[in-house]
This record gives sequence, structure tokens and C-alpha cells, in this order.
Amino acid sequence: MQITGNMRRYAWLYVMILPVLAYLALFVYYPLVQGVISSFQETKLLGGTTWVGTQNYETAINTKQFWQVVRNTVLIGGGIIVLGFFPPIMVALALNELVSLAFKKMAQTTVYIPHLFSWVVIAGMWMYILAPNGGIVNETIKALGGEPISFFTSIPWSRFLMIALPIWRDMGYYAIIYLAAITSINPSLYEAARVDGASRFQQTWQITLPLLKPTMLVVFMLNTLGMLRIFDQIFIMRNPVTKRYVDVLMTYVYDLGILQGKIGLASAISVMVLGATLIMTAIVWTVTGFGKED
Amino acid sequence: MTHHLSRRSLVQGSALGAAVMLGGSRLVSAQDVEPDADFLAAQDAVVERLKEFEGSKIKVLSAVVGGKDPEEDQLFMDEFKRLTGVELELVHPTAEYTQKLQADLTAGVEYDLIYTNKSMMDMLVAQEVLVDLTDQIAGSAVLSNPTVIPTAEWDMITYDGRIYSVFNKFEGSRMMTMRADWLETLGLEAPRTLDEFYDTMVAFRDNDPAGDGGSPIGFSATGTYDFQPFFSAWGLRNGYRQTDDGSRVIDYASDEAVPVYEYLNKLYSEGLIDPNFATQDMAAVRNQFMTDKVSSLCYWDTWVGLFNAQMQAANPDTAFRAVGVAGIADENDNITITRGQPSVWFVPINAPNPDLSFLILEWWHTFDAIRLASLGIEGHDFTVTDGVYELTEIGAQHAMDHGVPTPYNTNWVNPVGELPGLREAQAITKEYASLDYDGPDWDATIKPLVDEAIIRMILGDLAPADGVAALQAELRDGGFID
Repeated sequence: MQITGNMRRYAWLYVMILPVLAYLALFVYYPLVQGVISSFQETKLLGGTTWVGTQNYETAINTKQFWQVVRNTVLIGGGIIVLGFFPPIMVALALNELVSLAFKKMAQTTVYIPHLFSWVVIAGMWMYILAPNGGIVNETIKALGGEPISFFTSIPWSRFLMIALPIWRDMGYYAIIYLAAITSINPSLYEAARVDGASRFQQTWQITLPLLKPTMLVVFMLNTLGMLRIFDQIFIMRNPVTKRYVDVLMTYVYDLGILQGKIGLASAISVMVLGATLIMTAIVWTVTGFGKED
Repeated sequence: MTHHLSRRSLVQGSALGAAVMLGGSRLVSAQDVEPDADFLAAQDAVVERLKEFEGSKIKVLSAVVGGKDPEEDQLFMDEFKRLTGVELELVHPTAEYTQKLQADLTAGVEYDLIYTNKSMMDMLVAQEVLVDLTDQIAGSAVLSNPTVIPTAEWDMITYDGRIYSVFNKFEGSRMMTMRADWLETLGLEAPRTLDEFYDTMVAFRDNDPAGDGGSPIGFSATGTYDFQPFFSAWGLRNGYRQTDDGSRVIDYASDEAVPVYEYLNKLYSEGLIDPNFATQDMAAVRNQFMTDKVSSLCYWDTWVGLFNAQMQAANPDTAFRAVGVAGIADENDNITITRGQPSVWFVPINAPNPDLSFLILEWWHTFDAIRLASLGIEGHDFTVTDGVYELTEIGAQHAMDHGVPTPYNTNWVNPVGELPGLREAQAITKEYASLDYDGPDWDATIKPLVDEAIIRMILGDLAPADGVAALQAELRDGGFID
């Protein structure tokens, strides 16, 4: 009776949530279920499927290229998470110290702008800057008597760029999140610390950073969820020389599914990526104590 | 070594002398052809049969055929309806065509006709997505006429005796294309040997042929596909083949290829090859060529004419003149040029009206269709006054390419004229070009390994002998060569 009464009472709320549920069912859960089913099938375009059991999974894990892209994904995705963790915090702390409001806004906008660029724009811009012939970096190196570096065809440099450019692109975005968290810290904490004679560094170390921990965990969790799904920057910036060393799971899935029409195999790898993401998230959740009150 | 420009070597450019000014660009008068009577009768029959389908509708997925922008796509559809009586819904993605094709097929979207290339078709045939057209083609008075499509050409798209598609256009070749006006300025001949090519590149770099104080780069490219003219000097060809004893060979990974990589590395080290070649796209290379920054590239023969037409459309007084060069001969004076893979139309198995789809494929090789897919839309790209065709300003910019710059049909005479230099470039294609070796796994699996090694050897990351040995070991390990 009470349940029915509540449903009637909040009926309009349930109606409002329907579009979201429909969206999730249609664009998230239906493709997800279809993907899992396809992973056990040999699928032909325009219909025609054959059940093949776990054959697609066996094919994937017995392919040398699969383990190469797993390794690349861990290196590049892990690199982005680890190396990209502290820069936004440092930027947020620096922005917080700015006294001039106008300059602060300008600096915020400047560091945020790259996040608005598509990867096509970013790749084009950096390819231009780092071009072996005519790029500003290599022209400077040549002017100083050095040998130009072909950044995008050098295997170590290209891997580094695949890590560094996403960090650069998203640094402003995460810095804004941290900055919002910093501004919400109770000013009386800093005032009390100042009364106790705490220096600026001590205030940051003892007050700001500890209170940023929940935000850090959110950002870390978001990055972990996205680690195995990186695609855009690799797809746009890979080339024949570096492909083998920067291709990640999602570009491999694209190549198999879209270019080679191996839908079942691509689906099997996607399902494995989904499973790995859930496991990693659970590990991070447990280790960091995410969601628990301090 | 310095060599002088011979009359023979510049025959490609001499056609410009007889050019006529039309629509802001210079075009060469086309050669007269007496159309085949059987073809003309068959063409009339197709037009007659189309009347049975008047008011019908077809949906077509196209990569290259259509307008140059969404507005012109609409005009293209309107013109198609005017010419055939059939309403056309043209789906014309601006990018990621393969992705769109795959996604739509997977989703079961119904098309009457779909455009694709040979590599993609290999996969689609294996997936049993294409309607078998063998008998219909054999029974078609248009398509089985060798003046429309030479009989031997069908072999390129035959799978175990069955044909699943119809050609879109004649595919030209990728040939060395150079600045003829610079050769003339410096008193050089078009190079035919590796030494001559090297000397020419050095001369361009050091002698300011454009007169703007610049040092143009000798050769620009986008990846390994463009280096075939150099492999030609050793008689090597892209792809893999089977020898008479059944063993598989990849020319580019053979010991014979080592001197090619040594030569290319030498060019690269001396700044004669664009250092951006591994990462840039073809639009960048074309731009470099048309802005005096690069003296040669390897590109489609059609582009010899398109370069000239576009530069002349932009500035009628330009000195710019591109010329197709046959390439670099091997010790037996043979030249190996890569011919483009077939581009085709197929009827998917879920096509709503396959009879109409096939009839449109027959119509595609008739004069009305060729005029639409080359010159463009009447009243927009060209005008006809008292039987005289003239390109509009827009038509000149579109350079007579709306998907079929060069048709197969030898009965067709372009009423406007030909792109300057194109006929001579195509003569080179007909004399020397042939298809690359090809086979399953090449694009998806083998080519990436070969490309990586080639680029690293050119860049100097790998010594050619070591690089080839490592590549051979890797290919053998993967079971791709014996």
C-alpha cells in the first residue's frame, strides 16, 4: 500500500526519469548485451551468425598482436594516470595563489582552452610545431647546432607524446575541478592556521591537500575508468612507424571490427576490456577507500 | 651530371601550346572518336528501359561520386533524376567512408548501390554481402561491350569465376610527377635513371628554379606507397606474390631491395626527401607542389592534368606546368608503375530493387552518366550553347571530376576538352602500369610490418641490410613468406 502510494505521489518523477532510462537501455545496455552475444559468434555483415563458443576469446589471447596492444595500453594509459595526476593539482594550487582576479581568470581560460580542442586540431597543431622540417622546435634545435628530431616517427618520442599530449590537453579541465574544491574549503581553517603561525606551504600541505583527497579520488577513478578506452589521440597520431608501439586495445578493436570485419573477435576483446575495467575500478575502489567517509 | 631538356621528354607539356581557354582554365582539344554502333544501340536501350522505372527511388552510398559539397550533392541528385527519371538519395560521407560503410552494413541499412574499392570488396565478398552479377554482366549489351569496358579488365574483380561488382571508372596509375617549367628553366631533361633523378633533385634544390630564393625539396610523399618509382629501378613491386615453385615473396622485403633503401636513405640524409613524409597527408603534399616547395611527387596520372588546370584556373599567366614522367628504368630498361586498384559499385544482398540497381550500373557507363560524373551538373558546372560545351567558373574549379574524371568507355569524347598533360600521362599509364601484387592479409597484417621497416630504413633508424634481414625474419615468423 505504502509503495503504491509513494509511486502515485511521485509519479511525475518517474515519468521524468523515463527518457534517461530509455536512453540508457537503447544506447548503453542493448549494445552491451549485443556485444557480449557477438563475442560468442562469428558474425557476417548483413546478418548470418554462427555460434562459435569461446573461439573468439581463444583467438584473441593466442595472438601476439593482442598482447602487444595490451602492453601499449598499460604503458600509455598507465602513464597518463600516473604522470598526469599531479600537474592539474599543481596548476590549481598555483591559480589559487594568484591575487589579481583578471590575471587569474585569464590564466584559467588559457589552461582550459586545450580541453576544448578536438584531437584533430591538437594533433595538427603539435605535428606542425614538432615537424622535422619547418617546425619551431626543430628549427630551434637546428639553430643551436643540433640534429632535428622526427618526434612523431621516433618510437620513444611518439610514446611520450601519446602520454604527454592528453595530460597537457586535460590539465586545465582537472585543474578547474581542483580549484572549485579548493575554493569550497572553509577559510576559517586557513585563518586558524595563520594564527598558529603556519607558513603558506604548511597551510597548503596540512589543509589544502588533505581536503582535496576526495576530489583526487574522483579524478583518479575517472582516469582509471578511461584508461583502457583511450582511442582518439592514438587513432589520429599513429603512423606506420609507430603503429605497433602505440596501438592500444580500442584502436585494435577498431582495426579488427571496422577495417577487417571481424566483428566477433572485436566484440570479444571489447568484452575483455569491459571486464578488465570493472576489475581495475573495483581494485582502485577498495585500495583507496573511495566513497567512504574519512 | 647535367642533362638538357629534350623535345621528347617534354612532349607532355607541349600539348599546352594547342590549349584553348574555357571557363578560366586551359583545356586541350579532345581527340575525335567514332562511337561503336553496338554501344550506341545498347545505350538507347538502357535509356528506354529506364522509363519503366520512372518515379522509382534508389539509395546510394558513395565515397567519391557526387557533388563537391552538400549543396552540389543536392544538385547532383536533381540532375540524376532529370536524366534518368529515378529519384536518387545520395549518402555521401565527407570522411571515414569505410567506417560508415561497415556501420551501415552491420546495422542492416538498405542501399541499392554501394561504392567501394578492391581491398574492401575482398572482405565483403568473403562476408557474402554482394549480389552475384556475373550472368547479368554477361547479358548486358553495354557492360559486355569491350569498347565500354575492355574484357580483360573484368579479371581484376573476378572471384572464382564470379563477378560481384561493376567498375566505377578507369583507374590510372601513380607516376612520378615533376615541374616541367623548372626542368626547362634549368635546361634539364626529365630524369630516367637514379643518377639523373639525384642530379635533378640537387639542381632544383641549389638553383632556385622558382626564382623566389627558395630551395625546393626534391621529392615529397605520404608513406611508403609513393616510393614505387624508385623500386622500379630494381624491377621490384609492392605487395606479395607467389613464385613458380609456390613460395611467397615480398619484393620490398627481399635482399634485392637493400640498394633501394640505401639510395632513399642517401636522398633523405641530403634533404632531398621531405622529412615529414611519414606523417603528412596527401593534401599537404599537393599544397607543397603547387606552392613551389616541392619539385616532384608520386601521384595519380589524372592529377597531372588537375594540377595544371587548377593552377591555370587560379592564374592564367602561371608558369606552373606539371608533367608525368615515366619513371626510373631498371637495367633492362623496364619501368614498373603502380596502377590503381579498381573502384567499383556493388548491389548489396538486401537491396530493395536489385533490377533497378543493375540497370543504373549499365546506365553509369553511358554518355549521360559519364557527363554527369565528369563535367558535373549542366547549368552549374557547365553550359551548352548551340551544342558548344563550356565550363563555368565553378566547373573549372571542380576540374571535370565528380567521381569519374576518366571513364572506361572509349566511345566517350569529352566535349569540353581534356585536362592539360593528362592524355600524355595516361599514355604512360597504358604503356607501363600494372596492378600491385595483392593477396589476403596484405593490407591488414603484412603491409604495416613492411611499412614500418621501410620508413625506418629511409630515416636511417635501421641500416638497410639489417632492416631487411629483420623484416624477413619477422615475416617468416608470421608465416607470410617461406
